[in-house]
Amino acid sequence: MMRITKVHKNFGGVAALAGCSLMVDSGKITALIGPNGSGKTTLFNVISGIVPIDKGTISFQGKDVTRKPDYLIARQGISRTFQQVRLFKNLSIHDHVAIALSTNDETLLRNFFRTRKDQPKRIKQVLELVGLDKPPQTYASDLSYGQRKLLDLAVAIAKPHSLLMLDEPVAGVNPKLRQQIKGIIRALAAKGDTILLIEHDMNFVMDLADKVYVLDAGTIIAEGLPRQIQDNEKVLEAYLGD
Amino acid sequence: MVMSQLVMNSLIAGSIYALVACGFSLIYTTNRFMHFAHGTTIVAAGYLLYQLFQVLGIPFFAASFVSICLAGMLGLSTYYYLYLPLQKRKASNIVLLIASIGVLIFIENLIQLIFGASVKSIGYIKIARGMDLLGAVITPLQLTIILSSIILLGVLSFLMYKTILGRNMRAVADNPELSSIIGIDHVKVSKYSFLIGSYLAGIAGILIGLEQNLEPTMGTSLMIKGFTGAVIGGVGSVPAAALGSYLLGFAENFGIWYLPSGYKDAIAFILLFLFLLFRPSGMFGREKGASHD
Amino acid sequence: MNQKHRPYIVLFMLSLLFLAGCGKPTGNQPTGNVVVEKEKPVVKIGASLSLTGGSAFMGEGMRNAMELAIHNLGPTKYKYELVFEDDAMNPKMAADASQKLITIDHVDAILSLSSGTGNVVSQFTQPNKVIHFGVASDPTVAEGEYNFIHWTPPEEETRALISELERRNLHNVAFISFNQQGEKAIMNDFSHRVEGTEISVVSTKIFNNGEKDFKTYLLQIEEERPDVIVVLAFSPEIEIIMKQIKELDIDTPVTSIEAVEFSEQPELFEGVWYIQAADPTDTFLADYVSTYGKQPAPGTANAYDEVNMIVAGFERAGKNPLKKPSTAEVVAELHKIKDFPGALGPLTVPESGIVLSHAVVRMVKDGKFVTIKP
Repeated sequence: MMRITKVHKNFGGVAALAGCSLMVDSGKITALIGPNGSGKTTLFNVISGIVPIDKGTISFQGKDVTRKPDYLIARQGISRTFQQVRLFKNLSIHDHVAIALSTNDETLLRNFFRTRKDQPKRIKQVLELVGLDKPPQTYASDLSYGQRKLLDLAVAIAKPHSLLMLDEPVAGVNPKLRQQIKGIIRALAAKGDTILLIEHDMNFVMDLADKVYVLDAGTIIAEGLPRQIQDNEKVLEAYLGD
Repeated sequence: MVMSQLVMNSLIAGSIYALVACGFSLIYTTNRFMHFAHGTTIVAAGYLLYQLFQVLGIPFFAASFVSICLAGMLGLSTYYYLYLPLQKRKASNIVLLIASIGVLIFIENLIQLIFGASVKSIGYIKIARGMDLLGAVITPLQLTIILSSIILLGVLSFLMYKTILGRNMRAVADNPELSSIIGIDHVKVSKYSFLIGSYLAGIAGILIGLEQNLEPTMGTSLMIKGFTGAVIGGVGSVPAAALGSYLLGFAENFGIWYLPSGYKDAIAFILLFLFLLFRPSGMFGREKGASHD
Repeated sequence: MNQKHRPYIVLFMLSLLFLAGCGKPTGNQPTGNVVVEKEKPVVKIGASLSLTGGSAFMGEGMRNAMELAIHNLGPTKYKYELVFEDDAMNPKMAADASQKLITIDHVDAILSLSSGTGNVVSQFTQPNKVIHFGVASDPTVAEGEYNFIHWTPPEEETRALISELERRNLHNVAFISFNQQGEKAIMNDFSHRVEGTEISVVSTKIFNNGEKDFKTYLLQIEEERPDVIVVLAFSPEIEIIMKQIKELDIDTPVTSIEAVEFSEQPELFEGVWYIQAADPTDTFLADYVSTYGKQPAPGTANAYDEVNMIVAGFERAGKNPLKKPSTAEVVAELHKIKDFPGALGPLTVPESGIVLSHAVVRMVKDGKFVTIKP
């Protein structure tokens, strides 16, 4: 599905990514773990085009998406969430999901006519899937932290995608919501979604992931099945003192 | 009779302000910075119509159509060649505001250089007594201005709240980076906002030019009134900006009925000051929720 | 900026410059800075004029007249140069212009236009001993020995207006006026002169610069049932007022002072009588029209006379061709001026510094401006 090859990214002399390479297989949950500051979110930002790459290549479904603008990468089928939730403060839950559902084709005539007749049904389905039970006209700024996390996830899921990138989906949530989100990810995987997941919490990841990559100081130091990673000395060393 | 005429005068004034405020608010709503040069787009459209119709003798409606199209191009060019390069260099909104004022001054002076400082009149409509309507006197042009304003308000509201483009504009206004991540080309959406907003400026320029004649510096005073109306109503919402403009028209006309005549401008500025101080979101705007980004 | 667009942008900018060059008036153009001979002492005459804004037609006219006056000078002892600053008839800009003219350009004299800006300029010229001629109605502009006015004073205009109102039996008067000192001076003088007569002011509406909507003012005026509406405004406001009067079907007669002949839409004033300053001489008119291809605006002939009076003052006061006289000496000569041959006829500078010229009553008849009472 996606191949990342020797990606480098520097920020003012500090190497956030130093030749990072990994592969995401179709229909699997791939996890990316590592200590704080290892470059996980930077890699996500580079893949989604928010941050320009310095060196290396990223190919997605056989196409080279290196250096493409962020909105074009999104249209290729890459959908993501953010570690620190990003939403439209002054739009409603309904509008969030509706925007994500639309193909965002900017042809002028299409922009004046709504074309998705099944949109209300799809919006309802997505909100039920994530378990967000607030009225759809509620503004995002009026939601609690946990509800915003769910909306962020709903937007990522609703957006037509071939790859779903989740950046610490359970960071800062209570245990009940954590289980809820885990269930959502499992349900998506069961439907055949390809998921790339960043998570700080190894226990959360080990339950879910089909394959794990460990990132440290901008390079992949280990990869394999979750139980292989758990016993890996390099991984333990990277997390020492964490 | 007097009260009817006062209401009619207020509606006409409010409609003129609303014609200015709608386009300005559309651009602000999408891009979140003040495009003060919108005032000169209005004036430029009026002068283009003057040149095409009055000087070159091109039929009125053809000349109007061309003027509106060129106004759209002017607004779009301002975005593409000035604001977008500044935004790519991460310029703040203050810098963009200053740039827009610079464009306003430049175009006003350019118009004066080409057409001279004296007032120009577009002689399409013969000056004649207005018609009686609901106990007041109103000319067909003034009625057209009121109806145009109401229709444009309806069309813009439909655009902003019932179309994909409008929803994308609101998304880009709210969070341009997130909108890109979702797949919205926010530069293209901004271009649409400038194009449509400047087409509206073109329509406003033609109607206002016919009603009030043309002078190079009229854009500044139009923008002040349009901006005030938008702030009163709620500058982040097109329908609210239009409603605020009508409120301003009523406040001014009823205000000077009871206050000394020289206070007309003071009414607008006092309202602007009060709203900016106590309710910056405007009468119909929404108080923003706490930031969580 | 996209590289491929750059040539088009350069071409666009060059086209603008070309257009700007084409926009200049045709005809013999006297230059503003006519240099006679290099070794002569230079007398600098500055001007703070409305070269932009709604009154720019008057400022441009005065600038043209000043340049024409310099161009028409014969042999002189001194060299005369002009320096122009734009004040857009805005008092604050006039203050900046005056400061710049005095402290940086070191002018010997300044011309100004309007009572609002004239009063500001006179605050700078008096302490700095710079000669100042204002085209203004407000007599306070001429306060101080270095300050002068050359304009039909409000007393002359109101005298002519009252006389005509009495002749036409029009007693209830409404004013709709621009918020400017000159216009206020006229209204104050009018109110003062009609005390004890049958004439009274029933309504006064004042509007600010940039006003375009007078419908509610006109509605209020009509409520007072005046016999005549006196419009004290210039373009563009006066045309809009006339237009809205017609659209509102107001049939009360309208009159004005000075503005009618300079309107861009004279058809709006057919049948309207008005007060006007006396005509410039035929000689001046012919010279101005042949040079600039258009009629002079209000104040144009006054500016021509003011430059010539200043030149006369320096030429008469100056005893040494290698050293120009002090402005105090020039002021003394100015006060001696009597029956000076000006563009507005014979001119005399009285002790008050207010050069007198008279007002007449005219009417627009079949598109022509006809004097009905000299």
